[in-house]
Amino acid sequence: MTTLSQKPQPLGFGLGLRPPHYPDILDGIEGIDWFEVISENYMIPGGQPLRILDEIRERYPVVQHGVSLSIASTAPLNMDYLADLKKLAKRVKPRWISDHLCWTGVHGINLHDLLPVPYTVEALDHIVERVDKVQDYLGQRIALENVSTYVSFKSSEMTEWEFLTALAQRADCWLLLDVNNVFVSAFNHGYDPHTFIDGIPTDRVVQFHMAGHQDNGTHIVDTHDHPVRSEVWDLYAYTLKRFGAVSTLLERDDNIPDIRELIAELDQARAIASRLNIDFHSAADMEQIS
Amino acid sequence: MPTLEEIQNGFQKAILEGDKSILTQIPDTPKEKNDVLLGIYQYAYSARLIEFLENDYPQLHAYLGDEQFDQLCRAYIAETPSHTPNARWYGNELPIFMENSSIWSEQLQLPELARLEYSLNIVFDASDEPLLRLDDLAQIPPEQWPSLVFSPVQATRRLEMETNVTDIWNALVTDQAPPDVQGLADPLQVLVYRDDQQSSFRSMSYEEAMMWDKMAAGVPFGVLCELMATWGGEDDAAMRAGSFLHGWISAGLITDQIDMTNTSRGAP
Ligand SMILES: [Fe+2]
Repeated sequence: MTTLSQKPQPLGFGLGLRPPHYPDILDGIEGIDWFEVISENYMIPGGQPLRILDEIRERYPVVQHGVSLSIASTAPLNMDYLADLKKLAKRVKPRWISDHLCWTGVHGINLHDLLPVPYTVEALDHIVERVDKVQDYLGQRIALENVSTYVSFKSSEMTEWEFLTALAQRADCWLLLDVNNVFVSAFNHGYDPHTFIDGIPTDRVVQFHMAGHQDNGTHIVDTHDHPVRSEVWDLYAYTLKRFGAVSTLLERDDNIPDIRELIAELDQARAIASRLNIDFHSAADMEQIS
Repeated sequence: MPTLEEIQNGFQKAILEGDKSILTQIPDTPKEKNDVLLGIYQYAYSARLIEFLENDYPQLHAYLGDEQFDQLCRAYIAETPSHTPNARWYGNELPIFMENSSIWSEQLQLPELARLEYSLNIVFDASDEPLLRLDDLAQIPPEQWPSLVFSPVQATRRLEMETNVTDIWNALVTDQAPPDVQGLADPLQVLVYRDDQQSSFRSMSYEEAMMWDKMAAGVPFGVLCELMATWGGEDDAAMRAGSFLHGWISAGLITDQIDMTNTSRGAP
């Protein structure tokens, strides 16, 4: 296993790879530093999607992001799923592999949602053990992402950021910090998102997610169908100040606009970073030299 | 304090069965009641699965319209929890579900349309395999030909349609009004395949379809020629068989895995 000093270098500002954008990307459109692919979308036998992915990974750094690891589930780890994931990783050679701190179902059923976890010692012990097994099997560290939650559990014994921190340290994994999810969960559960950001250890975070959400008044839903809200850009600036240059990825899953609109949003992130004098490239160069 | 397992069992029950016992473990937030918040997950469950089905069956969706398609999805979802980690496979059983349902098979073109779309999806991301080339065939000595067993690539499916569903599909996919449904006296033989990375289909003559099916079942080329003679007449039966095979190989439908049967007909 790698040591912490080998934290992957920042990749700059990337986009989630979505099929409507294939033609522009293959035409060489500029303004995207790297891509994140949903692993499951390419865990298929063959055909055009895998060929296009082969081409894109020749030209750009790629990371794999999964939605069905179900790391927090009390059901046994799905070894067939892990075998497929590993097979894809062998082909793609992603900079890292991520999934979510959540569960997706029990009793062999997949609810296809990122379901919330009680922040208990029991859950922590359980998840640490599973992350360990997964990392051993894949032969690399994984990154786990904080999800948007709409409910919490009375049995929770610690905050989400305490739970994530303990998990990353005990399981020796990376974290993917979704800034929009921090904003959404903080709003829904009534805490200050800055406290969350301040509670996450800087040396564990390899990636940020940025996305849009839907404000329903009494609660916010993480919909990924809008541009990033200005409050979340503010929180991103705050987060960048704490963490420095961290690979930043814009997610859009619904109402997918022309890729130029998303590149313009990436430029907003770039503008925030440069306003704060955070230079992604020299950070990357320094990592390469060391 | 409930265990993690108890919480997950309770939460899943709420989503799948609407049993809200888990609410005793969930606090209200300062702004909202716990049952409204749990409802977000309950709503999202079917909404997400419907979205998967919409992605996989766009022409069936267009043909049925939003309301009926939604009804179909909800009926399918109620009977079919997902057992796959990959959304791509969730809708695989929809054609069977429709074929087995008295409501959804009453209009035969509906399950046929589902079956056609399912087949197009399956060949789209089926395995990439090494293909047989015409040059490879030239290397094979003539006396071995009768015992050769050819295999279709995995990116193919054979269908028999009892309605004009292919006309309906062709209209829908070009945003035209679909024709009235018609029953066919003889089923239409269809081959679904992949051409230049895109799914496609074409009709086949009865003779071509029968030869394809027998070939796919592992019948050696010599026997295929004899069957062709029985079906379509002795004259140039071998030539007709050869010409179908030539067409399939040229279209990239045959793998490079040629088997040889060592028991030719009549041998002990
Ligand atoms: Fe995210």
